[in-house]
Amino acid sequence: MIRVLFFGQLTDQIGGASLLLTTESLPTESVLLVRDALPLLCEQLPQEAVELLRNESIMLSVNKQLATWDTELSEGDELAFMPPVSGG
Amino acid sequence: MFDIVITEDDFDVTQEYAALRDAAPHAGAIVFFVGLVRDFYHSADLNQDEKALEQTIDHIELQHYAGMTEEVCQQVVDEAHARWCLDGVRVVHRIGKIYASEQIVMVAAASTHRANAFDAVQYIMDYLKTRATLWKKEVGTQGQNWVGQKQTDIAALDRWQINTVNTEKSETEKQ
Repeated sequence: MIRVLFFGQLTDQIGGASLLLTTESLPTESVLLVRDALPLLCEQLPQEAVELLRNESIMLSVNKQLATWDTELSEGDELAFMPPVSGG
Repeated sequence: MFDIVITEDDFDVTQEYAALRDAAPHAGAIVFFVGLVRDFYHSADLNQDEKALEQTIDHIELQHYAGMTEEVCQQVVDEAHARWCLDGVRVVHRIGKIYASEQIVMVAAASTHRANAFDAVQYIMDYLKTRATLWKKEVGTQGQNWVGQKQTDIAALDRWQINTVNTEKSETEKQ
């Protein structure tokens, strides 16, 4: 399982703050990258919602560390999609 | 004392000042910044079309990424500490539902001379605004609105010469 989190306006646009991705169907020897999570997300979300995640303004993190589309994902990881921040 | 607190609770500046003063007995200067929730959209950030949508804010809802926010704030404070000689820093950022005119954030720095404390507080606020994993939703007379990143906040980083938002991106891209 990979836990996927959505923050800020993505929470409203996606219609939820988190979901779980099952990796069981994938070959165990294959390397899973952040970009590979998108087709898996398409199984649970409308295509328009997944398109929002591809926006270049979206920041990515894996286990609370800033990540890129090429960061590797492992079983049990936490992947987050974050719009530009607006605290302070 | 180099503390960061992310909390739903309001803070008392008098108590915070006393705590920082106790923790930094040799300081010659303590600088405080307190940010408040505005009760209206800040017109300077809006274009003409957006001005038509100007509304009164009842409250904001601040969402954050628990764990990551603390980590990023700690990095920013550590950077400030590396850049200026400081005797102490205290950051409190509220999350959750905060009404108009209430306190939202506090950054305080103690140092031997005032210039370092002023600079450190400005630096920490500038980078909290652009890096801390917090998202603000304004709830007002005309509905709800997620606040986007302001170009003025990005531009403010120029005074520290390194634009960390872009630097971080290019560094992670190299990995």
